[in-house]
Amino acid sequence: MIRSELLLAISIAAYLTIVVNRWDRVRSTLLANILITFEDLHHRLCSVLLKTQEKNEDKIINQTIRYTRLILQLLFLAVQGNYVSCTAL
Amino acid sequence: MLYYFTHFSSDDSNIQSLVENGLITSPEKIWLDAAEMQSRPFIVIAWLHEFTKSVPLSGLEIGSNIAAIRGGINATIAAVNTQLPYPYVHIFYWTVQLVLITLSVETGICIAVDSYWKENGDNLYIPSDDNVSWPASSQTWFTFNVILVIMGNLLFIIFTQCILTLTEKLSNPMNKDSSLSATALGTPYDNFLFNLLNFHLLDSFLVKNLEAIHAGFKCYEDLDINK
Repeated sequence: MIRSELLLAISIAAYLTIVVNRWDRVRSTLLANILITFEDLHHRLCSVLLKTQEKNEDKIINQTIRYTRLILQLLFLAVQGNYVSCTAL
Repeated sequence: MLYYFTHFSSDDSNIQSLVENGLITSPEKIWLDAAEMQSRPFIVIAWLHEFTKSVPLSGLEIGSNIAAIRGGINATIAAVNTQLPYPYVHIFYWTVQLVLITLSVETGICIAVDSYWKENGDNLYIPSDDNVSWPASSQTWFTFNVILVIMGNLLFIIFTQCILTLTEKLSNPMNKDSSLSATALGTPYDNFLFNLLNFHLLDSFLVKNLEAIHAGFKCYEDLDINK
């Protein structure tokens, strides 16, 4: 019995490591890169708007942040619910 | 049956809520409705690219940003929808269940044996070379033994079941349920660690940071640093 429990503990540990690693990769690498790129885009946009003294400044910023938020929201919607977990089988 | 399969949801109620929140307009909704869920972000990326080209902004070229956003979205969708490297995870799952069932049977047998020794053991549970007859009462010996067996096995079962539940929740990191905070770790916005994949938190980060960047550029001239 002890042998099977040990084997089970090792299997669970390996499984948990893989799942948590993926969770961390999505959080720290993939989504973080998307956010960094969005912020870079916003930074450059604000910088250019200041130089050009654009009259429709607020409108342009509002439109850009709307598209940015929409991209992020659609990404979350696309990923949610398309996944079948192991315990559902 | 294989562990991994996907189905494309055509649930349009989510898109409707976006219209109500003012995130998309009605003409945009028509185009987004026509696309599959996983293609929709790329349509909006193209809109964003065209929008920045249409406004009179000198020197703003966002091609590299667009490429990075597209790559990030692709990689995220791929990562979440990629099969875990256990081709037959249900075998792993049922192995866990089998061991737990065996453990429960073992618990029953141990208690039955202890019960027999308590009645008929004639204090045989005391080692023969032990000069001190402890425990003096067979009932005490029996109670401690049963508590040890039950608590040990119960803790193992609770632990493995908790890990299975946890891995199920974390297997899709961007799922609504994967924050875990609403039930286990306090209110949703209290726990920073588990909520970094929460859309609303990322959303408020983006908006607040853009406001801060914009305010920073605007107020720089008033700082009188170069005067």
